[in-house]
Amino acid sequence: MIKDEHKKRRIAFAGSLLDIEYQGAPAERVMAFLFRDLPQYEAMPGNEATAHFTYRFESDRIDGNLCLFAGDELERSCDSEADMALHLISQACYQLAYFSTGGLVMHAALLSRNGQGILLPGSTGKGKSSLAAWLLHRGYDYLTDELVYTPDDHSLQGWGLTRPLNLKRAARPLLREVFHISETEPGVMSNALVDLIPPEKFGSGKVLQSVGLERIIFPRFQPSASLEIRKLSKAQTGLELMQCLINARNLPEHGFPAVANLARAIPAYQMVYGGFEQVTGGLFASSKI
Amino acid sequence: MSEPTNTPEKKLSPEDLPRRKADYRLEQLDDELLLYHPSDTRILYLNQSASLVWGLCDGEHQVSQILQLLSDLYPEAKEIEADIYATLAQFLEHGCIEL
Repeated sequence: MIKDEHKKRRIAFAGSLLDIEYQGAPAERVMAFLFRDLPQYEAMPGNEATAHFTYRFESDRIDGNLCLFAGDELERSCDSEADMALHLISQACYQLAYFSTGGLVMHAALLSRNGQGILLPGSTGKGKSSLAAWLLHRGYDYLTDELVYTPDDHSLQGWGLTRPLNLKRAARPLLREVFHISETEPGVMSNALVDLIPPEKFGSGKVLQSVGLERIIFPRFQPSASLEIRKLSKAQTGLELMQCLINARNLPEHGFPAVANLARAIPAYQMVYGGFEQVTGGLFASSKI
Repeated sequence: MSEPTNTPEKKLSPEDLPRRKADYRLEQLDDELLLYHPSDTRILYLNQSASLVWGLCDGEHQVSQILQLLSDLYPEAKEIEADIYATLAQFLEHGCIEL
């Protein structure tokens, strides 16, 4: 039973529905910060589906802590809005991927220029968010820095789970020197490990929900490396994409045929780079993008 | 016909008849293959020559015959024998062929 003062936000992504019931001003701030760029879910009249998972987020407690419940079980308690924001967005991504159906969900960033999508697959920690920030800074439109869904309808559309960019502590010099963003400035949530930064802090590109996929680039950052671009064969592309797939257990044949179809349809490259100034040229210098 | 070299491929003999195991899902992408088995989430990537070796693992071609066929197809390839033995050893390691 929802208390009168609880609000609810339903998040729909990749065939999954996640409900977050929340209460209190700090929770409202965290929810607004994390999910403001996601469209509000609109159920068909008379067809209100049940969410796959529900969180309850309370922040008006006497002890001042912010608490996140999964059912009746306390999952996380902390006194920092930034800590809770980081935990909540990570868990939301996990739950949405866990219950996803009808297509591939991949660890990937997704950016767009002139309506053409560039998919940047890579597991956590590969530098996708930093590269996404750089491309935003260069005028690209933003979809996501973490989770991409490609429905199994042969449309070659990519949908991004839009969230604030998640940059690790190691990227702080970059934030200050390249993007001129301070971790303490308004509109940024930071903790000891991570800075969560809304996309508009990096550039004036639009925030999009979906885009046609035109190119796949597997980025590999290596300090001091020269720029190297290698076109991948379709089979190599399929192999790399399978390693970024996170909902294989939900898919027919673990998503293998669907990944192969994607690899057949979209050209892919591996890009080794040692600095962002290299990225301005190369694959991103095409007049098509 | 050369004998197998003193490498992990030594367990293969020229008379062996490699046979693909059943239930492997295969996707052909241009001249290359991706192999996948439903019970194992590992994917095996086969380049063009490895794809040909896979195709000849039909239980009817001895290792020596596979070597000969591919040597005829790639006469300029200096390391073809070692490559084929390495490919077959990889198939054995992944459990996708039996002898």
